[in-house]
Amino acid sequence: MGTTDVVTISASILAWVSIFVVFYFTYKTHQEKLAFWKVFIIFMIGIFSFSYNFNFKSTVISIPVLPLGVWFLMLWYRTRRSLWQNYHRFAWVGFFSAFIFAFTTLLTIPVQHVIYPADEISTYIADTDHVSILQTHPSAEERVLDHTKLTIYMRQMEQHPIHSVKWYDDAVMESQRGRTTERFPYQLTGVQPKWGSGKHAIIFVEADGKGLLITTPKHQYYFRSDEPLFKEDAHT
Amino acid sequence: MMKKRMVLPAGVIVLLLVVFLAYWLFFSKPSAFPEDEALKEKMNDIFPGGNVVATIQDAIHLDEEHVFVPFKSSNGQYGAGYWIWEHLQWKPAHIDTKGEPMIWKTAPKNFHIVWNLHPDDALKKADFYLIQERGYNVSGEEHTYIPHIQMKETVNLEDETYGVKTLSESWNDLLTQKASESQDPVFNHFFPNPHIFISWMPLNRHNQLTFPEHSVNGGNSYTHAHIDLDFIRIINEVELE
Repeated sequence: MGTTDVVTISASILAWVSIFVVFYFTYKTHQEKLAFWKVFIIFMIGIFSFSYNFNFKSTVISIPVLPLGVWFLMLWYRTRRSLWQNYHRFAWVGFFSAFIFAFTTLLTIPVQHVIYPADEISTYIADTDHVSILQTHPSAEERVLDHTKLTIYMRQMEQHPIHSVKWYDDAVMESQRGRTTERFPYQLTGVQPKWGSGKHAIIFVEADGKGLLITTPKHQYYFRSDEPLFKEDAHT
Repeated sequence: MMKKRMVLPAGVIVLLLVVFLAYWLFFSKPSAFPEDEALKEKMNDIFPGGNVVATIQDAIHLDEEHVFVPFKSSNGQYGAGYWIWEHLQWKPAHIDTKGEPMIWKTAPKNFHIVWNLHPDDALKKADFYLIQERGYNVSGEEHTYIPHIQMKETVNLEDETYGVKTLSESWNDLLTQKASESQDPVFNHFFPNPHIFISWMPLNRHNQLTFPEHSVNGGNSYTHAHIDLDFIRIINEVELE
């Protein structure tokens, strides 16, 4: 296993550490000595905000807009101005911590792209040793995967457009004439993604053995090679 | 003060006791599975209206904590009890007076097909199919194509009225693949991959599809404890590729 999303986890650890540093620094440099637990509760309430979520390159980033927690505390302390003078910075630290999260999330995008490029086969197939082929449609023939070819061609295969509507229509047309063949009648099994990427994919293999259809929860990628990835001697 | 000094140790003892009790309640090893007579008594006891079980046919252990118990019912039907080990006792989680094939999820990555079919239906074998319907999706520039999956496993129905088919590793893998982003952790799908389903084709000795009318429909069932159980629908030749 060992395939959790290390980049995202590191980003949130980084965010929490920086928030704690900012919070602790604010606490230490404050002239008046305040009870730590009170200040911490104020900080936690300050985190509550109305935020705007947007999707940037399939990553959801949430930008805080309205400081709801801070406003609540302002109301709460409206008759005790001196107390609020002591506490307000901690409430704002809470509110701004949401920006730190937004920033670290934004940071993961280029980092992910460099370490685990989404459009490269090696991200989804870390090691070819345990990979084998599974027939998932009756039109598939008995074929055996050639590990050497997969290892070599994996790096040379080129991305091609997915003609989803055409492929679907072809199959429907064929079914009206009788027996239907599936364009991708095999699946690769035993596939592990690159360590720490968390990028589990379902990989279909084309009937001619030359195409891989990599299906992730977010996107689909289609790669073609010049040669089939099957062993030649098997049932030819 | 004596009292104050006692609070901490007392608290620690209570906490340890709670942890121990919880561990005992949820992780203790199952005791020996009850005898047929006790199974029959317990099922007749909890089934509304009572007296459903006439004879216990078998007790098939799917794993340490899940046992499939096919039985003949008092009105000549073939039914099944789904026994589980829960909270320190063996209990029938579900009882069905008819034994059409069902799929039982005993662990997140463990599926079993179980059945107890009436001999009058004269079935020779059953073809079980794992199917994903072909599909496509276009949103803006983004194209997605969902290939058709159709896999078959055949079981022989001639020797016994009942049986168990534990799904192979590849079927379990296909059923549990994470296929889409929209997986709601609150609402748990029976199969984590919602595009895939399992169906069956009951076949007679001429290899023709026959509707097993003595085994399907019109039964009574009772659910006594939480169980991950799903129906398997019958599929026609025209739906196959």
